[in-house]
Amino acid sequence: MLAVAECEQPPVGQARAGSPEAWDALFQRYQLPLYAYVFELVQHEQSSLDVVQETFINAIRYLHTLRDDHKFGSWLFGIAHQKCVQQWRRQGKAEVLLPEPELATLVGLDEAPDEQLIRKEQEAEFMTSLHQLPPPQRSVLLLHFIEEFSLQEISAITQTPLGTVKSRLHYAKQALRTLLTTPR
Amino acid sequence: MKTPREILLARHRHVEPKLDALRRKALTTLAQSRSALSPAPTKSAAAGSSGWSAVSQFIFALLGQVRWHVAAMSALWLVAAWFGTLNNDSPAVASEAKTSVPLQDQIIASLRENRRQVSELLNTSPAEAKPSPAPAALPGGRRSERRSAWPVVATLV
Repeated sequence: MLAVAECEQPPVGQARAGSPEAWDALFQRYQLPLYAYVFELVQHEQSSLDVVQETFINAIRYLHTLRDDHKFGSWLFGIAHQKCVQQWRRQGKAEVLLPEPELATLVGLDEAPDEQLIRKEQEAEFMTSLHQLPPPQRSVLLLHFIEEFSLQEISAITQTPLGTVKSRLHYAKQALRTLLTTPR
Repeated sequence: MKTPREILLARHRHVEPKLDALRRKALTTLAQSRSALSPAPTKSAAAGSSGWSAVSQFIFALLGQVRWHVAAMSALWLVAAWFGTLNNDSPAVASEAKTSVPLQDQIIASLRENRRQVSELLNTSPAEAKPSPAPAALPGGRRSERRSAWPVVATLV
């Protein structure tokens, strides 16, 4: 199955040539996932809208620096992620670093997000559980859920070593599963 | 049953009008940045204008770097030109100098007079005075002929 990020060919080349229609299509494609990602990290509507707007403007300004058109999505999320980090720093929130699990114990990383179906009555619990995760793990999990980015892409977006991304994703999934399966 | 993606996106659907407005704003920024650049009616004209604009930008940048030097040099030249006009002769003298320039006829007449005086000194009448011989031709022609005309030099060489 193709990942969400790969199933479409966004008109990056035309946008690079300055086509407003291509930019419109690109922004329309990414605006909601981008906002969802930013909001779940920042937890503030107006700040999230500001971050999305700054991301769009920076994308227009710096598209010439993007070498591989197929990586437009991860590049765009990378800009947004950096803006979120700046937002955290402005608010005085440092990234919470929890002890990472041993890489040798990591299992089930290739499980696709589509395979994790959530019942309607569990949706609220899912969101609550997501918000209970520390921001670095939440960020990795959101990128995995929203756009199905690969581990390498998540590593590039968050500017984190690949091993750290693996461990964070594993820890986040495990925590989420535990929270969801626990009878209340 | 929903996937996490569906849940996350559905949770933020209500913000889509605001996101649409943001998108339009970003596109306006794009249009403004495009219009700020020089309009390109044709490809060749655009290439030419970009070339000229690059040259003019380079010249302006160069002049901008040395603008104070250029200003100082210009001021010096103006001062020098002012002093030059002060030290110049008056216009009457200048016009006199212009009219006192000897004409060709006057030069020829003075030369004839000079020649007559020389012939008087040599006790010959001006009518008898032969025209001065033409100056000896410089050694020319082939190198061997010149060597024969200058034997000493030829042997030395």
